[in-house]
Amino acid sequence: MTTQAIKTTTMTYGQAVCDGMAVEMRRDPTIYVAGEDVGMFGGGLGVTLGLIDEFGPKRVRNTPLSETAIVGHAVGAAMAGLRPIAEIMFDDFLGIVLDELGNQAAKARYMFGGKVAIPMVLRASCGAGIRAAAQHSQSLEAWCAHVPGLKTVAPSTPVDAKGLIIAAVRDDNPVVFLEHKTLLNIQGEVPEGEYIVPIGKAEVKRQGGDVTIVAWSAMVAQALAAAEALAAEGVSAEVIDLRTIVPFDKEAVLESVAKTNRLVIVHEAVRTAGFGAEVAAVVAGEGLDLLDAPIVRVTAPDTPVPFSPVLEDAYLPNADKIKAAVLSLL
Amino acid sequence: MIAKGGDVKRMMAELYGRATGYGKGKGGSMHVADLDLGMLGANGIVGAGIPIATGAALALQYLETGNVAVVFFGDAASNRGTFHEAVNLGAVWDLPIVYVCENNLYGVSTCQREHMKIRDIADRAAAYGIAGDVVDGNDVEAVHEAGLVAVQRARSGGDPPCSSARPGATRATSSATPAPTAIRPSTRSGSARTPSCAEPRPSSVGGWPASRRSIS
Repeated sequence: MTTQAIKTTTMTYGQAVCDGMAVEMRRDPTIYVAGEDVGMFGGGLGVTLGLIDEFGPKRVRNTPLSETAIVGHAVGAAMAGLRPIAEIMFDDFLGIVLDELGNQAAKARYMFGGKVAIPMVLRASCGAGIRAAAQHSQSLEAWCAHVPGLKTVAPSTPVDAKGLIIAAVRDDNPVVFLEHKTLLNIQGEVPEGEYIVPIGKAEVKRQGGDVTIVAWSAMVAQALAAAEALAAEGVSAEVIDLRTIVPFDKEAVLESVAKTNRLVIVHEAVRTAGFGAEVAAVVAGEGLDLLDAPIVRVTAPDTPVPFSPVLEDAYLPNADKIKAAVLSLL
Repeated sequence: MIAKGGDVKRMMAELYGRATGYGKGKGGSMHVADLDLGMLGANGIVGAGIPIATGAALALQYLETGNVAVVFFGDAASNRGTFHEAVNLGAVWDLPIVYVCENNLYGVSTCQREHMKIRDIADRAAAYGIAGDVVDGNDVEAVHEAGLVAVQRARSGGDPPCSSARPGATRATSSATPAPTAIRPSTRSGSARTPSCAEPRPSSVGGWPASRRSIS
């Protein structure tokens, strides 16, 4: 058996997103980036740094502080032949653009009888952990998941960040791409050139037989740390990174639960009506016979994200909480 | 849409939810579009089409088509953030677009002076550094001429020197159309009601009451 060597480069998660966008922009001149400070400044969190040097101001477009226009114009540009990558700094600003995203981008293809595609990507940072307080720290993937017509991805590693941004740009439907702030600077080996991670495919990050832990975004690392700690106590945990929220890879989860018969779902978003509730409902509905124990969710509590470092640390799910949840099932 | 060559039969079929309609019956009366004609759809959300048209104008400019986007909306829609954000973006990007406000002096039952302090919507153009013109919506030839001038200016990519604003290809036009003398929403008792703001409609262009005009 021969395997083709894939050349890789060490880069951060943020750089991997940028690299993926650049790879696509070289391929297709109709792709452009628009957002606040995305030019020389590199965007609110530095992800687009350097793009303007290669592609110039026509394709890397600074916008006014004007999220409604950023997302709204992207819908029109996508309808008229371009492939916009729009950036809003924080997913907390989804509230400002919910009409443009949820009523316009998500519905146009359906309402117009399939006659139009909306090949746009909306990038936003998400998540807590940097003391950014209640309006800059949320994980709002469930808001996006609740609108048919949107795809939502939330990668947990640099390699997936690159593979998924390329898949998102190539998709003919609107894709919300959530980049967790605390992941932007983590490093990893990333394949050079075109590298695609298909939207809608989860990944088994660790094999195990006693319990399935489903997580995404920043919680994947916590789930893996919990699995490591559990292994020391003789418990074998399987960890699944959903990577894509919608479309949800239920087959991957059901297949794992068929093996482990126990399910713990971990997300950083608040508990009530979080996407974990959907995962639980699907497994309960289609895999009740597979379960030997109740489904458990490990989530943030139903409060705004606190600013105080002590409170924020207490608020966030972590490996210890996940481990405790697993042990409660055995 | 009819003027651009839209198929009236397909429009009616869409209004009746038929599979033969423009949107296969999935859109309905608020969401008729004909992408082949460059008609990107009516919108169920008042004012939501303004940023979409602005993005379409970017595509026209970006792809060097030489074409111009035109978006229509009402006086009430010009109060929405979508109008202000989109016109500002269209202005700073020098996009080939004409923003056309059809001012009928009312947002459903709320008369214009109750929902804004200005008389001419086109005055708002000045805030974004683009040209703003007013034309009598009852004068079809004047509307036609103003439309030609606006499209030509948007297509040429610059304002004439007479504009005191910074150069920009975008242009705002406000057209006045007759206001209803009274709005009569149905009530449970079946009686009719006249909004308190309703005043006799003057015959002048813009139809603004004289008392209001003296203030502005």
